[in-house]
Amino acid sequence: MDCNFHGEERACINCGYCAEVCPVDILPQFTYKSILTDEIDEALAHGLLDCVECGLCTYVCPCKIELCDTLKNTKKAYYLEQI
Amino acid sequence: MKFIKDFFDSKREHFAEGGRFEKFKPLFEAAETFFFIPGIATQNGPHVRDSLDLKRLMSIVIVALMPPLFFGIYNTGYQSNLASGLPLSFFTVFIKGLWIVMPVIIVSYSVGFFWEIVFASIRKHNISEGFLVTGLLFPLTLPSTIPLWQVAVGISFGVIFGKEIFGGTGRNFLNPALTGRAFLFFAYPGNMSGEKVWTFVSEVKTSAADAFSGATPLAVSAVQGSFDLIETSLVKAGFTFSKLFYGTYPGSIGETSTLMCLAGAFILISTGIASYRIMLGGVLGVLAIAYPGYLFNLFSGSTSVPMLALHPSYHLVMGGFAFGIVYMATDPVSAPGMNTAKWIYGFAIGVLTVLIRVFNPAFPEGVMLSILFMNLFAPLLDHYEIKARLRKRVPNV
Repeated sequence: MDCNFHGEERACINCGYCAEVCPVDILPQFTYKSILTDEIDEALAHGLLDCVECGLCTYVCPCKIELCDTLKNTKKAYYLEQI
Repeated sequence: MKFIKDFFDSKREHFAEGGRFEKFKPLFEAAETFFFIPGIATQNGPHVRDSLDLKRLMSIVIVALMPPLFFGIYNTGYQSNLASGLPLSFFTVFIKGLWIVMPVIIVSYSVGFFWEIVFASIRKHNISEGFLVTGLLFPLTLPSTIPLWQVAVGISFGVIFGKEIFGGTGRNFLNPALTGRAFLFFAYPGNMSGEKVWTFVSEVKTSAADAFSGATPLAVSAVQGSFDLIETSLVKAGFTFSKLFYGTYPGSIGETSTLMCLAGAFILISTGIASYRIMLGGVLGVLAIAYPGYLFNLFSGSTSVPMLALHPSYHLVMGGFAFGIVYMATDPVSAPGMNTAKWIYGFAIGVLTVLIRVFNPAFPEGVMLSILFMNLFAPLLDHYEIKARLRKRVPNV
Protein backbone atom coordinates (compact mmCIF):
# COMPACT_ATOMS: atom_id res chain seq x y z
CA MET A 1 0.00 0.00 0.00
CA ASP A 2 1.37 3.39 -0.96
CA CYS A 3 0.26 6.92 -1.74
CA ASN A 4 1.03 6.69 -5.41
CA PHE A 5 -1.59 7.98 -7.80
CA HIS A 6 -1.22 4.76 -9.83
CA GLY A 7 -1.80 6.61 -13.09
CA GLU A 8 -2.63 9.99 -14.49
CA GLU A 9 -5.83 11.95 -14.63
CA ARG A 10 -7.98 11.39 -17.71
CA ALA A 11 -11.43 12.41 -18.87
CA CYS A 12 -14.28 10.35 -17.43
CA ILE A 13 -15.05 7.32 -19.59
CA ASN A 14 -18.37 6.61 -17.89
CA CYS A 15 -17.35 3.15 -16.73
CA GLY A 16 -19.74 3.40 -13.78
CA TYR A 17 -17.44 1.84 -11.17
CA CYS A 18 -18.10 4.79 -8.85
CA ALA A 19 -21.87 4.35 -9.02
CA GLU A 20 -21.42 0.67 -8.20
CA VAL A 21 -19.49 1.32 -4.99
CA CYS A 22 -21.35 4.41 -3.76
CA PRO A 23 -22.94 3.51 -0.40
CA VAL A 24 -25.62 6.22 -0.59
CA ASP A 25 -26.65 5.58 -4.19
CA ILE A 26 -25.45 8.81 -5.68
CA LEU A 27 -24.36 8.58 -9.30
CA PRO A 28 -20.96 10.22 -8.83
CA GLN A 29 -20.07 10.27 -12.53
CA PHE A 30 -23.21 12.20 -13.48
CA THR A 31 -23.23 14.35 -10.36
CA TYR A 32 -19.63 15.29 -11.03
CA LYS A 33 -20.43 16.26 -14.60
CA SER A 34 -23.34 18.41 -13.56
CA ILE A 35 -21.07 20.16 -11.04
CA LEU A 36 -18.52 20.86 -13.78
CA THR A 37 -21.23 22.50 -15.87
CA ASP A 38 -22.49 24.54 -12.88
CA GLU A 39 -25.82 22.71 -12.76
CA ILE A 40 -25.87 22.74 -8.96
CA ASP A 41 -29.63 22.16 -8.80
CA GLU A 42 -29.22 18.97 -10.73
CA ALA A 43 -26.35 17.86 -8.52
CA LEU A 44 -28.56 18.48 -5.47
CA ALA A 45 -31.35 16.45 -7.04
CA HIS A 46 -28.86 13.61 -7.52
CA GLY A 47 -28.38 13.61 -3.76
CA LEU A 48 -25.20 15.63 -3.45
CA LEU A 49 -25.97 16.48 0.17
CA ASP A 50 -26.34 12.80 1.03
CA CYS A 51 -22.69 12.23 0.19
CA VAL A 52 -20.91 10.76 3.22
CA GLU A 53 -17.46 11.60 1.82
CA CYS A 54 -16.24 8.05 2.14
CA GLY A 55 -13.97 8.48 -0.86
CA LEU A 56 -14.76 5.11 -2.41
CA CYS A 57 -15.56 6.74 -5.75
CA THR A 58 -12.15 8.39 -5.86
CA TYR A 59 -10.51 5.13 -4.85
CA VAL A 60 -11.99 3.05 -7.68
CA CYS A 61 -11.89 5.68 -10.46
CA PRO A 62 -9.63 4.34 -13.26
CA CYS A 63 -9.40 7.86 -14.68
CA LYS A 64 -8.04 9.14 -11.35
CA ILE A 65 -10.63 11.88 -11.08
CA GLU A 66 -10.93 13.58 -7.67
CA LEU A 67 -14.62 12.78 -7.40
CA CYS A 68 -14.95 12.91 -3.64
CA ASP A 69 -12.99 16.13 -3.42
CA THR A 70 -15.17 17.79 -6.06
CA LEU A 71 -18.36 16.75 -4.30
CA LYS A 72 -16.98 17.87 -0.94
CA ASN A 73 -15.97 21.30 -2.21
CA THR A 74 -19.30 21.81 -3.91
CA LYS A 75 -21.12 20.94 -0.71
CA LYS A 76 -18.94 23.40 1.17
CA ALA A 77 -19.62 26.17 -1.35
CA TYR A 78 -23.33 25.41 -1.22
CA TYR A 79 -23.46 25.61 2.61
CA LEU A 80 -21.53 28.91 2.57
CA GLU A 81 -24.00 30.29 0.07
CA GLN A 82 -26.92 29.31 2.31
CA ILE A 83 -25.67 31.27 5.31
CA MET B 1 14.48 -2.33 -15.63
CA LYS B 2 17.06 -0.01 -14.12
CA PHE B 3 18.53 0.99 -17.48
CA ILE B 4 15.11 1.87 -18.91
CA LYS B 5 14.44 4.07 -15.91
CA ASP B 6 17.88 5.70 -16.24
CA PHE B 7 17.20 6.31 -19.92
CA PHE B 8 13.93 8.12 -19.22
CA ASP B 9 15.42 10.03 -16.30
CA SER B 10 18.31 11.29 -18.41
CA LYS B 11 15.99 12.48 -21.18
CA ARG B 12 13.37 14.07 -18.96
CA GLU B 13 14.95 17.54 -18.81
CA HIS B 14 14.68 18.00 -22.59
CA PHE B 15 10.93 17.53 -22.48
CA ALA B 16 10.28 19.60 -19.38
CA GLU B 17 9.25 23.25 -19.60
CA GLY B 18 11.92 25.27 -21.37
CA GLY B 19 13.57 22.14 -22.75
CA ARG B 20 14.43 21.56 -26.38
CA PHE B 21 11.51 19.24 -27.09
CA GLU B 22 8.92 20.84 -24.85
CA LYS B 23 6.28 20.42 -27.57
CA PHE B 24 6.68 16.65 -27.57
CA LYS B 25 6.09 16.23 -23.86
CA PRO B 26 2.89 14.16 -24.39
CA LEU B 27 4.85 11.70 -26.54
CA PHE B 28 7.56 11.35 -23.89
CA GLU B 29 5.03 10.77 -21.15
CA ALA B 30 3.10 8.24 -23.20
CA ALA B 31 6.32 6.31 -23.80
CA GLU B 32 7.39 6.52 -20.17
CA THR B 33 4.06 5.47 -18.69
CA PHE B 34 4.12 2.48 -21.01
CA PHE B 35 6.92 1.13 -18.80
CA PHE B 36 6.37 2.75 -15.41
CA ILE B 37 3.49 4.23 -13.51
CA PRO B 38 4.27 7.91 -12.98
CA GLY B 39 5.52 8.78 -9.51
CA ILE B 40 2.76 11.22 -8.64
CA ALA B 41 1.68 11.24 -5.00
CA THR B 42 -1.95 11.79 -4.04
CA GLN B 43 -2.79 15.34 -2.90
CA ASN B 44 -6.30 14.79 -1.55
CA GLY B 45 -7.91 12.01 0.39
CA PRO B 46 -8.39 9.10 0.08
CA HIS B 47 -4.64 8.78 -0.21
CA VAL B 48 -4.68 5.17 -1.29
CA ARG B 49 -5.84 4.64 -4.84
CA ASP B 50 -6.80 1.59 -6.82
CA SER B 51 -3.99 0.30 -9.07
CA LEU B 52 -6.26 0.16 -12.10
CA ASP B 53 -5.75 3.14 -14.37
CA LEU B 54 -7.00 3.83 -17.87
CA LYS B 55 -3.88 2.39 -19.47
CA ARG B 56 -4.32 -0.95 -17.70
CA LEU B 57 -8.04 -0.93 -18.40
CA MET B 58 -7.47 -0.43 -22.11
CA SER B 59 -4.70 -3.06 -22.07
CA ILE B 60 -7.22 -5.62 -20.84
CA VAL B 61 -9.44 -4.79 -23.80
CA ILE B 62 -6.41 -5.27 -26.07
CA VAL B 63 -5.80 -8.67 -24.46
CA ALA B 64 -9.45 -9.55 -25.03
CA LEU B 65 -9.01 -8.55 -28.68
CA MET B 66 -6.17 -11.03 -29.17
CA PRO B 67 -8.33 -14.12 -29.95
CA PRO B 68 -10.22 -12.45 -32.83
CA LEU B 69 -7.01 -10.81 -34.01
CA PHE B 70 -4.98 -14.02 -34.25
CA PHE B 71 -7.88 -15.96 -35.65
CA GLY B 72 -8.47 -13.12 -38.12
CA ILE B 73 -4.86 -13.29 -39.27
CA TYR B 74 -5.11 -17.05 -39.71
CA ASN B 75 -8.46 -16.88 -41.47
CA THR B 76 -7.38 -14.10 -43.83
CA GLY B 77 -4.41 -16.15 -44.94
CA TYR B 78 -6.50 -19.30 -45.11
CA GLN B 79 -9.20 -17.73 -47.29
CA SER B 80 -6.59 -16.09 -49.47
CA ASN B 81 -4.67 -19.31 -50.07
CA LEU B 82 -7.88 -21.26 -50.52
CA ALA B 83 -9.10 -18.88 -53.20
CA SER B 84 -5.74 -18.70 -54.97
CA GLY B 85 -5.14 -22.45 -54.85
CA LEU B 86 -2.02 -22.25 -52.66
CA PRO B 87 -0.97 -24.73 -49.94
CA LEU B 88 -3.06 -24.65 -46.76
CA SER B 89 -0.60 -25.74 -44.04
CA PHE B 90 -0.91 -23.79 -40.80
CA PHE B 91 2.35 -21.84 -40.99
CA THR B 92 2.13 -20.78 -44.64
CA VAL B 93 -1.41 -19.64 -44.04
CA PHE B 94 -0.52 -17.75 -40.88
CA ILE B 95 2.48 -16.02 -42.49
CA LYS B 96 0.33 -15.08 -45.46
CA GLY B 97 -2.29 -13.66 -43.08
CA LEU B 98 0.36 -11.67 -41.23
CA TRP B 99 1.61 -10.35 -44.55
CA ILE B 100 -1.89 -9.09 -45.43
CA VAL B 101 -3.13 -7.92 -42.03
CA MET B 102 -0.07 -6.36 -40.39
CA PRO B 103 0.26 -3.44 -42.87
CA VAL B 104 -3.38 -2.52 -42.22
CA ILE B 105 -2.84 -2.54 -38.45
CA ILE B 106 0.45 -0.64 -38.68
CA VAL B 107 -1.09 2.07 -40.88
CA SER B 108 -4.10 2.33 -38.60
CA TYR B 109 -1.96 2.72 -35.47
CA SER B 110 0.62 5.09 -36.93
CA VAL B 111 -1.84 7.44 -38.63
CA GLY B 112 -4.15 7.41 -35.61
CA PHE B 113 -1.29 8.09 -33.19
CA PHE B 114 -0.09 10.91 -35.43
CA TRP B 115 -3.45 12.66 -34.97
CA GLU B 116 -3.53 11.86 -31.26
CA ILE B 117 -0.09 13.43 -30.82
CA VAL B 118 -1.04 16.49 -32.90
CA PHE B 119 -4.15 17.11 -30.81
CA ALA B 120 -2.42 16.36 -27.52
CA SER B 121 0.41 18.78 -28.36
CA ILE B 122 -1.94 21.57 -29.39
CA ARG B 123 -4.23 21.11 -26.40
CA LYS B 124 -1.30 20.50 -24.05
CA HIS B 125 -2.71 17.42 -22.41
CA ASN B 126 -1.50 13.85 -22.21
CA ILE B 127 -2.21 11.31 -24.90
CA SER B 128 -5.29 9.39 -23.86
CA GLU B 129 -5.22 5.61 -24.02
CA GLY B 130 -8.59 5.21 -25.70
CA PHE B 131 -6.88 5.12 -29.06
CA LEU B 132 -5.00 1.92 -28.21
CA VAL B 133 -8.28 0.08 -28.59
CA THR B 134 -9.71 2.14 -31.45
CA GLY B 135 -6.54 1.61 -33.49
CA LEU B 136 -6.90 -2.16 -33.26
CA LEU B 137 -10.70 -2.36 -33.51
CA PHE B 138 -10.76 -0.38 -36.73
CA PRO B 139 -8.57 -2.70 -38.87
CA LEU B 140 -10.43 -5.75 -37.58
CA THR B 141 -13.66 -4.42 -39.08
CA LEU B 142 -12.18 -3.93 -42.54
CA PRO B 143 -12.04 -6.35 -45.46
CA SER B 144 -8.56 -7.70 -46.10
CA THR B 145 -8.26 -6.19 -49.57
CA ILE B 146 -8.70 -2.62 -48.34
CA PRO B 147 -6.15 -0.21 -49.90
CA LEU B 148 -3.82 1.19 -47.25
CA TRP B 149 -4.54 4.81 -48.10
CA GLN B 150 -8.20 4.18 -47.35
CA VAL B 151 -7.22 2.75 -43.97
CA ALA B 152 -5.35 6.00 -43.32
CA VAL B 153 -8.30 8.14 -44.45
CA GLY B 154 -10.77 6.09 -42.44
CA ILE B 155 -8.86 6.15 -39.17
CA SER B 156 -8.18 9.88 -39.63
CA PHE B 157 -11.89 10.51 -40.01
CA GLY B 158 -12.71 8.29 -37.07
CA VAL B 159 -10.18 9.90 -34.75
CA ILE B 160 -10.77 13.52 -35.77
CA PHE B 161 -14.51 13.66 -36.40
CA GLY B 162 -15.52 10.74 -34.25
CA LYS B 163 -13.53 11.80 -31.22
CA GLU B 164 -11.08 14.69 -31.17
CA ILE B 165 -13.37 17.53 -32.24
CA PHE B 166 -15.57 16.68 -29.28
CA GLY B 167 -12.62 16.81 -26.88
CA GLY B 168 -10.99 13.40 -27.07
CA THR B 169 -11.55 10.10 -25.32
CA GLY B 170 -14.38 10.30 -22.82
CA ARG B 171 -16.24 13.08 -24.61
CA ASN B 172 -17.09 11.38 -27.89
CA PHE B 173 -20.66 10.23 -28.35
CA LEU B 174 -19.96 7.91 -31.28
CA ASN B 175 -17.65 4.92 -31.34
CA PRO B 176 -14.59 6.31 -33.21
CA ALA B 177 -13.67 2.99 -34.87
CA LEU B 178 -17.18 2.54 -36.23
CA THR B 179 -17.36 6.18 -37.30
CA GLY B 180 -14.26 5.61 -39.41
CA ARG B 181 -15.68 2.42 -40.82
CA ALA B 182 -19.01 4.04 -41.63
CA PHE B 183 -17.15 6.81 -43.43
CA LEU B 184 -15.24 4.32 -45.56
CA PHE B 185 -18.38 2.27 -46.12
CA PHE B 186 -20.28 5.20 -47.61
CA ALA B 187 -17.37 6.97 -49.27
CA TYR B 188 -15.79 3.94 -50.97
CA PRO B 189 -18.54 1.31 -51.18
CA GLY B 190 -16.63 -0.48 -53.94
CA ASN B 191 -13.88 -1.42 -51.51
CA MET B 192 -16.13 -2.14 -48.54
CA SER B 193 -19.01 -4.22 -49.88
CA GLY B 194 -19.84 -6.71 -52.57
CA GLU B 195 -18.36 -10.13 -53.07
CA LYS B 196 -14.84 -9.53 -54.29
CA VAL B 197 -13.41 -7.51 -51.42
CA TRP B 198 -13.44 -10.07 -48.60
CA THR B 199 -10.65 -12.29 -49.85
CA PHE B 200 -7.15 -11.30 -50.84
CA VAL B 201 -6.53 -13.31 -54.01
CA SER B 202 -2.89 -13.74 -55.02
CA GLU B 203 -1.90 -13.71 -58.65
CA VAL B 204 -1.20 -17.34 -59.44
CA LYS B 205 -1.60 -19.33 -62.61
CA THR B 206 -4.19 -21.82 -61.43
CA SER B 207 -7.81 -22.13 -62.34
CA ALA B 208 -8.95 -22.24 -58.72
CA ALA B 209 -9.25 -18.47 -58.62
CA ASP B 210 -11.83 -18.44 -61.39
CA ALA B 211 -14.24 -20.78 -59.71
CA PHE B 212 -14.12 -18.77 -56.52
CA SER B 213 -17.20 -16.76 -55.53
CA GLY B 214 -16.16 -14.92 -52.37
CA ALA B 215 -19.69 -14.20 -51.18
CA THR B 216 -20.20 -13.81 -47.44
CA PRO B 217 -22.96 -15.84 -45.76
CA LEU B 218 -25.00 -12.66 -45.28
CA ALA B 219 -24.82 -11.94 -48.98
CA VAL B 220 -25.90 -15.50 -49.74
CA SER B 221 -28.90 -15.08 -47.44
CA ALA B 222 -29.83 -11.66 -48.78
CA VAL B 223 -29.98 -12.67 -52.44
CA GLN B 224 -31.99 -15.77 -51.61
CA GLY B 225 -34.85 -16.54 -54.00
CA SER B 226 -38.12 -17.83 -52.62
CA PHE B 227 -37.75 -21.46 -53.74
CA ASP B 228 -35.35 -22.85 -51.24
CA LEU B 229 -34.73 -22.68 -47.53
CA ILE B 230 -31.90 -20.30 -46.76
CA GLU B 231 -30.21 -22.92 -44.60
CA THR B 232 -30.07 -25.19 -47.61
CA SER B 233 -28.51 -22.60 -49.86
CA LEU B 234 -26.06 -21.62 -47.12
CA VAL B 235 -24.94 -25.22 -46.88
CA LYS B 236 -24.76 -25.38 -50.68
CA ALA B 237 -22.46 -22.37 -50.61
CA GLY B 238 -20.36 -24.18 -48.00
CA PHE B 239 -21.56 -22.40 -44.85
CA THR B 240 -22.68 -24.93 -42.29
CA PHE B 241 -23.71 -23.70 -38.85
CA SER B 242 -20.53 -24.97 -37.20
CA LYS B 243 -18.39 -23.31 -39.87
CA LEU B 244 -20.19 -20.02 -39.25
CA PHE B 245 -19.63 -20.47 -35.53
CA TYR B 246 -15.91 -21.22 -35.82
CA GLY B 247 -15.47 -18.53 -38.44
CA THR B 248 -13.53 -20.00 -41.33
CA TYR B 249 -15.44 -18.09 -43.99
CA PRO B 250 -14.72 -14.85 -45.88
CA GLY B 251 -15.58 -11.61 -44.11
CA SER B 252 -13.98 -8.65 -42.39
CA ILE B 253 -10.62 -9.47 -40.84
CA GLY B 254 -11.62 -9.97 -37.23
CA GLU B 255 -15.36 -10.40 -37.23
CA THR B 256 -15.92 -13.88 -38.62
CA SER B 257 -15.39 -16.11 -35.60
CA THR B 258 -18.18 -16.16 -33.03
CA LEU B 259 -16.14 -18.58 -30.91
CA MET B 260 -13.23 -16.12 -30.59
CA CYS B 261 -15.63 -13.28 -29.76
CA LEU B 262 -17.08 -15.47 -26.99
CA ALA B 263 -13.56 -15.93 -25.63
CA GLY B 264 -13.08 -12.16 -25.70
CA ALA B 265 -16.47 -11.63 -24.09
CA PHE B 266 -15.44 -14.00 -21.30
CA ILE B 267 -12.30 -11.95 -20.58
CA LEU B 268 -14.18 -8.66 -20.72
CA ILE B 269 -17.04 -9.77 -18.50
CA SER B 270 -14.94 -11.63 -15.94
CA THR B 271 -12.67 -8.62 -15.47
CA GLY B 272 -15.66 -6.31 -15.26
CA ILE B 273 -14.49 -4.07 -18.10
CA ALA B 274 -17.46 -4.48 -20.41
CA SER B 275 -21.09 -4.74 -19.48
CA TYR B 276 -22.70 -8.15 -19.73
CA ARG B 277 -26.04 -6.33 -19.79
CA ILE B 278 -25.34 -4.87 -23.21
CA MET B 279 -24.14 -8.18 -24.64
CA LEU B 280 -27.06 -10.24 -23.27
CA GLY B 281 -29.47 -7.48 -24.26
CA GLY B 282 -28.14 -7.64 -27.81
CA VAL B 283 -28.54 -11.41 -28.04
CA LEU B 284 -32.06 -11.16 -26.61
CA GLY B 285 -32.86 -8.41 -29.09
CA VAL B 286 -31.83 -10.55 -32.04
CA LEU B 287 -33.86 -13.50 -30.81
CA ALA B 288 -36.86 -11.34 -29.89
CA ILE B 289 -37.20 -9.88 -33.36
CA ALA B 290 -36.07 -12.86 -35.41
CA TYR B 291 -38.17 -15.54 -33.68
CA PRO B 292 -41.61 -13.97 -34.27
CA GLY B 293 -40.66 -13.31 -37.88
CA TYR B 294 -39.48 -16.90 -38.22
CA LEU B 295 -42.61 -18.35 -36.65
CA PHE B 296 -44.89 -16.05 -38.62
CA ASN B 297 -43.20 -17.19 -41.77
CA LEU B 298 -43.59 -20.85 -40.87
CA PHE B 299 -47.34 -20.49 -40.40
CA SER B 300 -48.18 -18.19 -43.28
CA GLY B 301 -45.98 -19.99 -45.73
CA SER B 302 -45.43 -16.78 -47.65
CA THR B 303 -41.81 -15.85 -48.26
CA SER B 304 -42.05 -12.32 -49.57
CA VAL B 305 -39.04 -11.48 -47.41
CA PRO B 306 -37.08 -14.72 -47.72
CA MET B 307 -34.51 -13.85 -45.07
CA LEU B 308 -37.28 -13.94 -42.46
CA ALA B 309 -37.32 -17.69 -42.96
CA LEU B 310 -33.78 -17.96 -41.64
CA HIS B 311 -33.53 -19.59 -38.25
CA PRO B 312 -32.76 -16.86 -35.64
CA SER B 313 -29.66 -18.61 -34.34
CA TYR B 314 -27.98 -17.98 -37.69
CA HIS B 315 -28.26 -14.23 -37.12
CA LEU B 316 -26.08 -14.61 -34.04
CA VAL B 317 -23.21 -16.35 -35.82
CA MET B 318 -23.25 -14.67 -39.22
CA GLY B 319 -21.40 -11.50 -40.07
CA GLY B 320 -20.13 -9.07 -37.48
CA PHE B 321 -22.88 -9.28 -34.87
CA ALA B 322 -20.80 -11.11 -32.27
CA PHE B 323 -17.80 -8.85 -32.77
CA GLY B 324 -19.93 -5.71 -32.75
CA ILE B 325 -21.92 -6.51 -29.64
CA VAL B 326 -18.87 -7.70 -27.66
CA TYR B 327 -16.30 -5.06 -28.57
CA MET B 328 -18.08 -2.11 -30.18
CA ALA B 329 -21.38 -1.76 -28.38
CA THR B 330 -19.77 -2.13 -24.96
CA ASP B 331 -17.44 0.85 -25.39
CA PRO B 332 -18.33 2.59 -22.10
CA VAL B 333 -17.95 6.12 -23.47
CA SER B 334 -20.56 5.84 -26.17
CA ALA B 335 -22.82 3.37 -24.37
CA PRO B 336 -25.27 4.48 -21.68
CA GLY B 337 -24.10 4.41 -18.06
CA MET B 338 -27.24 3.27 -16.28
CA ASN B 339 -28.09 -0.41 -15.88
CA THR B 340 -31.60 -0.57 -17.33
CA ALA B 341 -30.55 1.78 -20.09
CA LYS B 342 -27.79 -0.72 -20.96
CA TRP B 343 -30.32 -3.54 -21.35
CA ILE B 344 -32.50 -1.38 -23.60
CA TYR B 345 -29.49 -0.19 -25.58
CA GLY B 346 -28.23 -3.72 -26.23
CA PHE B 347 -31.72 -4.98 -27.00
CA ALA B 348 -32.32 -2.20 -29.53
CA ILE B 349 -28.99 -2.92 -31.22
CA GLY B 350 -30.01 -6.55 -31.68
CA VAL B 351 -33.44 -5.63 -33.01
CA LEU B 352 -32.11 -3.00 -35.42
CA THR B 353 -29.39 -5.33 -36.67
CA VAL B 354 -31.91 -7.94 -37.71
CA LEU B 355 -34.29 -5.36 -39.17
CA ILE B 356 -31.54 -3.84 -41.32
CA ARG B 357 -30.29 -7.26 -42.42
CA VAL B 358 -33.72 -8.61 -43.28
CA PHE B 359 -35.60 -5.65 -44.70
CA ASN B 360 -32.89 -3.57 -46.32
CA PRO B 361 -31.45 -5.23 -49.40
CA ALA B 362 -28.85 -2.47 -49.80
CA PHE B 363 -27.08 -3.37 -46.55
CA PRO B 364 -26.55 -7.07 -46.01
CA GLU B 365 -24.88 -6.20 -42.69
CA GLY B 366 -26.59 -4.03 -40.10
CA VAL B 367 -24.45 -4.16 -36.97
CA MET B 368 -22.32 -1.10 -37.69
CA LEU B 369 -25.29 1.14 -38.46
CA SER B 370 -27.41 -0.09 -35.57
CA ILE B 371 -24.60 0.48 -33.04
CA LEU B 372 -23.93 3.98 -34.36
CA PHE B 373 -27.65 4.71 -34.33
CA MET B 374 -28.05 3.54 -30.74
CA ASN B 375 -24.94 5.52 -29.71
CA LEU B 376 -27.00 8.60 -30.54
CA PHE B 377 -29.77 7.44 -28.21
CA ALA B 378 -27.52 6.52 -25.30
CA PRO B 379 -27.69 9.95 -23.59
CA LEU B 380 -31.49 9.99 -23.95
CA LEU B 381 -31.81 6.54 -22.38
CA ASP B 382 -29.55 7.68 -19.53
CA HIS B 383 -31.53 10.87 -19.09
CA TYR B 384 -34.84 9.07 -18.62
CA GLU B 385 -33.45 6.42 -16.34
CA ILE B 386 -31.81 9.02 -14.11
CA LYS B 387 -35.05 10.95 -14.05
CA ALA B 388 -37.01 7.88 -13.01
CA ARG B 389 -34.42 7.05 -10.38
CA LEU B 390 -34.38 10.53 -8.89
CA ARG B 391 -38.16 10.50 -8.57
CA LYS B 392 -37.80 7.64 -6.09
CA ARG B 393 -35.11 9.39 -4.10
CA VAL B 394 -36.13 11.05 -0.84
CA PRO B 395 -35.02 14.67 -1.16
CA ASN B 396 -33.14 16.19 1.74
CA VAL B 397 -33.01 19.80 0.61
